[in-house]
Amino acid sequence: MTSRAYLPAGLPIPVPERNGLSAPFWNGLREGVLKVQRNPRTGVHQWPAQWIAYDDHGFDLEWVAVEPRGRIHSFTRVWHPVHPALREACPYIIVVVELPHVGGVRMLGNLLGDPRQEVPIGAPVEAVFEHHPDAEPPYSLLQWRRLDSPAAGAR
Amino acid sequence: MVLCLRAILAACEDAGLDPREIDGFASYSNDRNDPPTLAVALGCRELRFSNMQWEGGGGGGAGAVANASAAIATGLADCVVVYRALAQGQFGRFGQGPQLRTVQGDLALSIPYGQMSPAQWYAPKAMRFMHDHGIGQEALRAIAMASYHHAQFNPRAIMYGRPLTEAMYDASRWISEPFHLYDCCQENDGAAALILVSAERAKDLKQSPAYVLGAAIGAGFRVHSTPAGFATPDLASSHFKTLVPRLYAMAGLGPADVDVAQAYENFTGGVLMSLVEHGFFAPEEASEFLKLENLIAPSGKLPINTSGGNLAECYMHGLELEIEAVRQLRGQSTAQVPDVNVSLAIAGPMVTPVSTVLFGSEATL
Repeated sequence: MTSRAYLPAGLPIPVPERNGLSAPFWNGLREGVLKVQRNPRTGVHQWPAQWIAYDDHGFDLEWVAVEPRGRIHSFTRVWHPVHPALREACPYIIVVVELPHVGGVRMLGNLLGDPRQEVPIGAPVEAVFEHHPDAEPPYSLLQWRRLDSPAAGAR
Repeated sequence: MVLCLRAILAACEDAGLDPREIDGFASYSNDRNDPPTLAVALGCRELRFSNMQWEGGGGGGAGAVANASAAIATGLADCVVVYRALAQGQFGRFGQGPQLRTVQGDLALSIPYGQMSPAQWYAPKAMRFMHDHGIGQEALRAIAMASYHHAQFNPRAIMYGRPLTEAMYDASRWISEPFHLYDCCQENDGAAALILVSAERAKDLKQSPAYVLGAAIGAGFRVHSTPAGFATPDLASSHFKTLVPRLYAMAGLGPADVDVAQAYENFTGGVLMSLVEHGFFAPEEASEFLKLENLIAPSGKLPINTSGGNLAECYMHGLELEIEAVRQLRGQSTAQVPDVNVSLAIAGPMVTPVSTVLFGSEATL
């Protein structure tokens, strides 16, 4: 299951912390499942991963799969590369995506499609799991695609 | 270390104070020059306060002044130097992405998507704020131009003799939308230092004193550190909302009392939000207020960044802004505002923790 990468190879590879805190998230992405933490007593979702529930301080947060969709909360289009691997990759779009059905947690990713497209704040998006099976170690990224318009352009 | 020592000695000479009298050190952003080493190097008779504002990068500039003031007010120390030194060429630049093979933790959530420099991390905050309140690029342009305008009067400024025009700004390349080239601070090596002593002791020194009237440090509810900043509930913020009421209450003052402001420009969008959050205008008034004529000395409604600031004087991680706030009170700025009694210095918008200090003249006591 190889999907085309939005950004060129050569960027740092994401790995779980040695203590394994966010390993369920990264393993989930490899399986095409989006997981976040939830407080089993209050149902409050948390992201990024923490050791403790911020609302009642329980240490028994559970990982739950959530529907991988959201809406664009904000974005930036990057024109100036600050890493050698990105020298030919600009512009590219970074979106902050809010998941209203998951308590409004926010996630980051690239917005697939034409890097020069208009980016309407509030637009609905769905997740695309970008797999890198040949990387060492293998990993998957969470990317986003607009739901309200066909993805245009080369990327 | 040499730059740091030179800055401390220069501050002591300016104050008319023997460097061996220093018994406390306060810095921020993990400065490489630790107080024990400095105290040994300077031959300080005693070390009583060894302080680092934890996290927040340039957001700790005013915080270090606040910590030094607290140490003196509580009797922990008598003479505290606030300092910051940078040698980016040797140790790595903030504006370059880390070249690592793997990343973990919060960095793993942003760097693989090409979000790895401060401009890229903070741009979505400004973007959302401008979207919510219908604020255009002209507001950011005016902030950049105010810094460059003031630098033209300041022979120490890196951009002295290199003015910025509207046309130059408009034609400049994007770095990370909504930031053009001129919306972004530079980086340079250097060092800066301020000496703090009690009000009583200050009367004996060479300069007319600037008094710390109030200070505040912090951020609001669940403000994440930079790489995970996207997860912060109040994204479109510079994170001063909870501090500002405490700041003004401590000083017994309000925004209308502020004669001149130094507002940390990592990026102009942070200045926009921090001026709103310090009560100078409502978000809806931003486009009207943020016009060059309102932002420049001597007669603008709120002159800002009168030395040229991070954008155009130099990048001393904002400590040069604290120093300029003091100069304005002493009547020593190269873009002096007349009759300054209350001088504000804002540190590090959009990070956590951020901080602000209100300095006052003797007339405000």
